[in-house]
Amino acid sequence: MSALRLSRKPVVAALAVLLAAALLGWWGFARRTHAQTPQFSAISTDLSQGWIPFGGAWRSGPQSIIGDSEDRGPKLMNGSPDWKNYFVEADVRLLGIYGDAGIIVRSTGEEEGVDSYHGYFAGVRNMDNSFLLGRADYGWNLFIAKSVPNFAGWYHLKLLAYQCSIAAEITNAAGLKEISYANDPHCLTQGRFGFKSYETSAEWKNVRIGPAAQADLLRFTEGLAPVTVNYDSHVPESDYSTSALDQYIDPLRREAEEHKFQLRTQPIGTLGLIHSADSGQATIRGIVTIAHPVLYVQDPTGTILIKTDSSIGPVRVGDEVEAQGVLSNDDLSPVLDHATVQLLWPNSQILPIVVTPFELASGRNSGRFVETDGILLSQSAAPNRSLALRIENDSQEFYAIVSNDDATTSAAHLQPGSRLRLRGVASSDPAFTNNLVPFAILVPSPANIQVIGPPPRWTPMHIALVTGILLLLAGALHLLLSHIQRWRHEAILRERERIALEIHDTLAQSFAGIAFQLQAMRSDAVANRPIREQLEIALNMVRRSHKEAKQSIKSIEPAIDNGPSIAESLRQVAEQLNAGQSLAIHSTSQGPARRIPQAVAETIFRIGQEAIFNSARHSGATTLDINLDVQRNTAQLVIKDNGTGFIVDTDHYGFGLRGMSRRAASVAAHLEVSSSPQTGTTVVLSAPIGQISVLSQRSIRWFRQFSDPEADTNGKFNNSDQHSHIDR
Amino acid sequence: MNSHSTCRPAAAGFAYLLAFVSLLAVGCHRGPQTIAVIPRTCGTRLWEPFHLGAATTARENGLHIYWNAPTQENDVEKQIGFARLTLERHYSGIVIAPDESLVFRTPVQRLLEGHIPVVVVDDNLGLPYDPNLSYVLNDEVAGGQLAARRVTALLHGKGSIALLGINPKLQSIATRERSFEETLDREAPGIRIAASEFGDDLSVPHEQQIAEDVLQSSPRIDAIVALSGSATRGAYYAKIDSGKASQVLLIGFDQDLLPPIRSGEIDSVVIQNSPEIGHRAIENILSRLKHNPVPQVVSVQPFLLTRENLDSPWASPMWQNAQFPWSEQ
Repeated sequence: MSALRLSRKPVVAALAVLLAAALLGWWGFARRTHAQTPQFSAISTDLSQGWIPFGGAWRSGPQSIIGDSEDRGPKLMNGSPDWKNYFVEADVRLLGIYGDAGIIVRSTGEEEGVDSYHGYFAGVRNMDNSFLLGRADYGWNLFIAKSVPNFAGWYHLKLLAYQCSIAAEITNAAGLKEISYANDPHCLTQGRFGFKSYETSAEWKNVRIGPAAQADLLRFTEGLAPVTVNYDSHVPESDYSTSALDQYIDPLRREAEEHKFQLRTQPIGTLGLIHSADSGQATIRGIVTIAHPVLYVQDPTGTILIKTDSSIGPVRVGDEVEAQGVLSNDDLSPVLDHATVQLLWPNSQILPIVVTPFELASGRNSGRFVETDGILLSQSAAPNRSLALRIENDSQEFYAIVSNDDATTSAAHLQPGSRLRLRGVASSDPAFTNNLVPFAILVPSPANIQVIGPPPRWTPMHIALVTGILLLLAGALHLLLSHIQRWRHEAILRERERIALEIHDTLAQSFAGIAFQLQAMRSDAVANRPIREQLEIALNMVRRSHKEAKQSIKSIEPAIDNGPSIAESLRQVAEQLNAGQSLAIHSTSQGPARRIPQAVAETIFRIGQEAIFNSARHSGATTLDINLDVQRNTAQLVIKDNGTGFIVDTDHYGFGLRGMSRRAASVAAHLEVSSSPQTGTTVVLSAPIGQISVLSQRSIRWFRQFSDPEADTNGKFNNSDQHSHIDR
Repeated sequence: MNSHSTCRPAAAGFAYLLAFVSLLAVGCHRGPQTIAVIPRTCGTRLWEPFHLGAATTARENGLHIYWNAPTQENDVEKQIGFARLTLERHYSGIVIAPDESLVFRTPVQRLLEGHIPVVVVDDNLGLPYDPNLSYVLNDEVAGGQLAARRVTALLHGKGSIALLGINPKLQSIATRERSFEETLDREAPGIRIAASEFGDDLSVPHEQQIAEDVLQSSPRIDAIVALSGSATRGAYYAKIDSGKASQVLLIGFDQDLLPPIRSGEIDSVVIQNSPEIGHRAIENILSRLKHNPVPQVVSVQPFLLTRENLDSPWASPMWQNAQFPWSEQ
């Protein structure tokens, strides 16, 4: 029954776990069910509020979200993948002149890439002035494209998904409206919402979301018949007919005009040679190496700091720009003041020069786009939502100021002690160095920081921890070995006790019986002298054998294992030896009756027994003091008589003394024998007990033997008094 | 009785084991195999027809494709990341159009070490023979010849031209250039190449700047031959900006900027037969999956797209975005 009772416990526990898991699952499902429709609300433009970027460079503007990228198809997503029937609306503005941007709904499976999501998109494309509605499934299917020639600047876009109906509406600032309405027979039923752009920077504001019902759809589409989507594989007819050509050519021409180059631009490298007296208007062309917090532009000949009087619009790292302004010089590099900046093209490649911090500290590379590395010491918040990293390398310490505007990546996870490779613009501006370090690296975004080595594994903290664990393990091992040794010793003692009992019950009893019988026979054989004599001999032999058997029993009985019992046993020994004589015996014991390791107790007893024997048989003493003092870590036995003493000869000591010394050494005890005719003989034995186990006592002994073979006896003999009557 | 009683638990155990193995087999059953198809970028007139060719062939043969690419055409690092997904997601093969020849040798070697069939399109990496590696290439020699003969015909065998967009990082463009020059030398020695300009980062601004410099410094140029899509666009913008839209002929490569063909601002563009390249690439993967040998190099003939044939039924599929049930790809 008990076995059955025991086996039920894990079953009950497993059932409880299963029940808990089922409840959790149900709770999660219930939550999912409730979250199928978004609540009507305005959506925050704070990028920390659930927005997830997939490519591009996204940042929060004042009351808006800006996609600062001219890549193909960066996305910024938000909301729940379980949302089904809902609408999203926003004001949208294309900041470039050749691309498209808009809103996504019912999206799932997003990845970084061009059309890498499953969802519906509506937006405006200014490369052919079209209003688009379609669907992406890692490939693009255009449902409807309508020409909207007058949609520059901000426009309002609303995209609604109800069951398999998808409708989009666009309204420009003048109130001009266009609606597209499609029915997708194989529709995507749920997903999150987001923004997407293609080859243009764009801005979204006044973003709102809410549930959609059939009535909303009907009101929204204003009686318009839906276009039924046909997914059959086919190529549409060419859209470059002569009549529609201007739709495509005009944006191309505008773009070409927009990016017309100034032919009289000056190489930046030559501007640094201009003296202040020569300062005047200058036009340069180059690639933006950093846009925030300062604007640096670099061309193959050099780099220049651009200072504008007003906001310069969506200029980002990698953009090719043209700048015109008044030239001046600071200490280390040219500056273009009161500049106007024109974006020419995005996404130009900038190759950094690789330099060491030592080279950067000279200031010669100030303003250059550089790559360097170092160990991160610490990080802290800096103005304008930036992060300041304190870095060290080549005996130089410097700061890296990382812009956190870009939501794509974050530098907050960097761990102190990591080796970092950074790309950015070197600056010696006190605004960034605080005049504490020789230079700072202005890092355009966290993506320009690469962790090339993790923090060292063996910090002082780790070493202390591991040392502590090792010490604990050693202690535990030590304790275990001590216990094993004790268990072994106790097993031996139990065996000895069993043998003693066996001898007592068999041999000793038999000897007693035989003696009894022999005595009886001797009484009966009074007349027969020869037989009586033989019986007497036999009787003596039996008595001797009986005595020896009793002595054997006594010698193997493990009766002593604490201070009082040892002292008492030694007193008994002394009493037996003193039988019929006038030796005054005083036995005392101090300390608690705590258990002494068996090997030590036996050693104390045997050495005491030997000392008492010598005193009783050879010293002629009239008093014998036996004292055992057991403290926390030591046990001290003192046996003192007032006898004649003896001469202590350390070179030729007798068998008894040598035996005592060896016994003491076996438990790492200290033996001291002093003797003089005036004071008699005193034997002092100090034995370690407590935490030091027999094993460690043996280890100590081995170590002493190894380091000093003469110390084998571990005894000290005080031979200042020359008397000797010890058993040799 | 005894033997029966010992057999019964054994039989039950065997039955459970069989059921478990069957469940495991059902659970481990693999759906259709997936092929990664990684162009240089997506959503362009060059690569979307290629997408259609690959997806159509895969669908007909019960395969899925994973279609994705960097959002910038010159983002080599991102493209290597997409190629690495093939190993991480255990795709059955990969079709890739590398951004650069040399940089992609190691990533492709890694894929081959994993015994994954690889088809490289639009570039030759020069790697040693491997049964799992094959190429489906636009016939760049033929493309160079088409452009050279068009220039010869337009200039009547005499004149001065500029050659833009030379890219030593791409074997395909180097071959294009060599073929063009050899054909011109052979067939029209009266035409002089006044300027040969590198444009090795695939960026339009760079190409535009180079073209503007060429138009300013060599005012007597009769024609520009742009060897890539970005060089064609850059040269077109430079022509507009310099006001020489009508005087200088422009012959481009790769389907990107096509409306000016209709308007006459671009004379013609040598376009790749992208759908056919996609189709042949998936066919090669299929053959390798069936352990059949594949031809090491398949060359696909390019076409010269002019104002006259822009809307012809055979040309439209090479540059138009098509409808397709992409969710089933």
